[in-house]
Amino acid sequence: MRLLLVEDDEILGDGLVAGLKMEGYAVDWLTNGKLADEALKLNTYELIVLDLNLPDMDGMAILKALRSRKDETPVMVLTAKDTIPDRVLGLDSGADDFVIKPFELDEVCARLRALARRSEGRSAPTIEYKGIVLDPASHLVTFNNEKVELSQKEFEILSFLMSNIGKVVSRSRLEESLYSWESDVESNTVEVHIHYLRKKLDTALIRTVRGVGYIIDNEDEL
Amino acid sequence: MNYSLRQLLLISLLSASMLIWGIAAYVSYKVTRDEVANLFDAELAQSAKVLNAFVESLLREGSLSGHWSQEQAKADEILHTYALKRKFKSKSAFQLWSEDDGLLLRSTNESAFSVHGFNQTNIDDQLWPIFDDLLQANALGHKYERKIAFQLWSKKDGLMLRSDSAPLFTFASSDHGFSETKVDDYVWHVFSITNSTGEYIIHVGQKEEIRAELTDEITSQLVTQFLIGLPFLGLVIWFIVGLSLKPINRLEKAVAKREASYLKPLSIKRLPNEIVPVVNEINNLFVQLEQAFEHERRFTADASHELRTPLAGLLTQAHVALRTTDEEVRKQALSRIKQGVNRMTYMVQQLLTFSRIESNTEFLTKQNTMVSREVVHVIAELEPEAHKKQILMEFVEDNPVPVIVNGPLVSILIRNIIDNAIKYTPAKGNVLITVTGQEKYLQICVEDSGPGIAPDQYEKSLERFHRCVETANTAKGTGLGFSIVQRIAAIHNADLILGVSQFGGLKVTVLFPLPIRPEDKSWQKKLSFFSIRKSG
Repeated sequence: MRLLLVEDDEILGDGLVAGLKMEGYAVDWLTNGKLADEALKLNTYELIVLDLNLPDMDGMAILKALRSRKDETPVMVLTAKDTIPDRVLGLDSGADDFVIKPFELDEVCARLRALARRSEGRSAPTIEYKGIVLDPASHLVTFNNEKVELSQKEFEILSFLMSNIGKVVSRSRLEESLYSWESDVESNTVEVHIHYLRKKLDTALIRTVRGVGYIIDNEDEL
Repeated sequence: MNYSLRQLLLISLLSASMLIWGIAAYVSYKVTRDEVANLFDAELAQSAKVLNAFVESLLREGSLSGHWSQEQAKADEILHTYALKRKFKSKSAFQLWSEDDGLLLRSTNESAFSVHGFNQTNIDDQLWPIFDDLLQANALGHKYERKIAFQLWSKKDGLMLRSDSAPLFTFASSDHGFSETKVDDYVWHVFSITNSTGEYIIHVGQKEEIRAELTDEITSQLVTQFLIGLPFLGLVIWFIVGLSLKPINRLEKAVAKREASYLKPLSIKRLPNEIVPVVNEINNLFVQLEQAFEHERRFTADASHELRTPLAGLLTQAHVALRTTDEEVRKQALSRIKQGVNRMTYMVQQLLTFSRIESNTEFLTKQNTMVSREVVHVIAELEPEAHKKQILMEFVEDNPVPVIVNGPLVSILIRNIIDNAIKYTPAKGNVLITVTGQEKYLQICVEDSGPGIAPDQYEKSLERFHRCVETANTAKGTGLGFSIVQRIAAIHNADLILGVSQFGGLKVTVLFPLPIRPEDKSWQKKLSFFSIRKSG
């Protein structure tokens, strides 16, 4: 899952990148508000973690610009200001969640999962479909009640496809969600991960739409 | 010392009224006494003239002594009466009618005395009995009777006639006009008149006592009235002062409602003009207080952000270090934690410095200091830091003069400027420090080859916790350095100027004003005396 982190503090930003990577997120880290605003115009993220106190452009302004573009990406705001008016202002400006510094990394991760879940229109913590149960918190997948060992990238792809059941997900979109700017994407890696997923789970689960991408068909609607 | 305005006004107003009234009473006592004396003198003269008129008329009819033997009793009575005339008001007059001849005698004021509706034609039958009665009722039994007297002296025969109260010897040595005589310890006012033939002398006397009594009576009336009025006057003053002080009571209640978090200006509506300036000043103070509180609130909020962010960083890095299985990541996280703790330590130091400067300005003692020496100390301290970044640090001194400053504070100022220069200057850059004595200032100049500050950002960069955009991520500042520098400069009336350095970076100039007359030692003594006094 691709995540944009906007945080000007070097140590905190570095720690968050390390911690979020451990959780399997593909993290892009920007320390500058204006750059973040540009990046959000050009790229698609599943989640945004935004510090409000930035040296050049107020985090709130970035948030307002984002929402004015009808971009619904869930935004978690990090702030040192803990007054109720600050929080109200933040939530009213389009933030989906608020975390007051200093915070526990675990809490941030749990809140991010909840944000992702809600943005996908789910309320249950796990995603279930045709005997497959995927738990985003523990990164565990079971198929017909048996644990399936998946690599992190395989888990991310499965999680992304299962969050978008019935919709075609383009290959580039999948690549985007898997890799941050720093990592090199090899052209056939997505195909390789899909291949392993089909092998470990049901071969008919993921259908290839040639030249476009992949889909898990929603058979409940058929 | 505190006092009650109400009591003060009451006491002072009452005292003033008493004083003024006392003077007025004394003056009116004097005037009354004089007036009474005049009045009585006039009466004395009048009485004497009446007697004289009698004597004259009797003389025209024949011998006074012959007449007197027949008419003694009657005349005695009448003369008594006229001597007693002073019991009538000064404006009164007299008439004397005879059965045979009509009007015998009258005072010069014709209209004054009338005998109750009797006209001249029928008056003959009735006048004497009525006149008798009048005299009986009004005068004969009067308590003042013994205090008036008359004597009729004949130059040939001596004392011919006198009232009971008159002495046997002559009343006055004078033959004519007013005089004063002492008889049996009593002072008598005497008016004497000599008849037209010069044979007879009439003395009419009046005891001083009567006059004093009347004057005292009038005066004591005045005093009594005032003494009765005094408590009422006091009550009225008390009430009016209370009423006038009401706005102050209202103001007191309004001020009592104010507290640090509620400093709304006080209303000046319905306040007397005398209090409005006070309230305006209080309101000005409120505005300043409000600003100061706002300043503090903002500082606290800023400081909290500045502390919360590195704390969040530390916590996150600690979490990563605990959770990761990758040894490389753990090492990196731990070194970040160390870095973060160092940064926070520095920040706490800066905050403490700042709050110490903010709160203790008035306790600072200033002394004659060679600032260039302080600069050398700071450079020696910071050189290793510069050396690490291979920065070329230079110090140039030109005509250094002493200025009157607080040494430790100026050290902090210099350290912050040079520290900033080193922080923001990239590796292999330059930092040049110059100390120059000028005509009116001692100039300290620190130039670096860092990124500098855009001129439109100069003002902003002096704000607390402001960090420059371009360098916010790389330099490990706290955003407090320039605030500290600015504060210390302000304490010393020094100017702080930002500009572009010869290396293209930032140039920070501080101008310390020189003592006005450096050769005048007494002025310096005074200054240090002042500082010591303040610190005590």
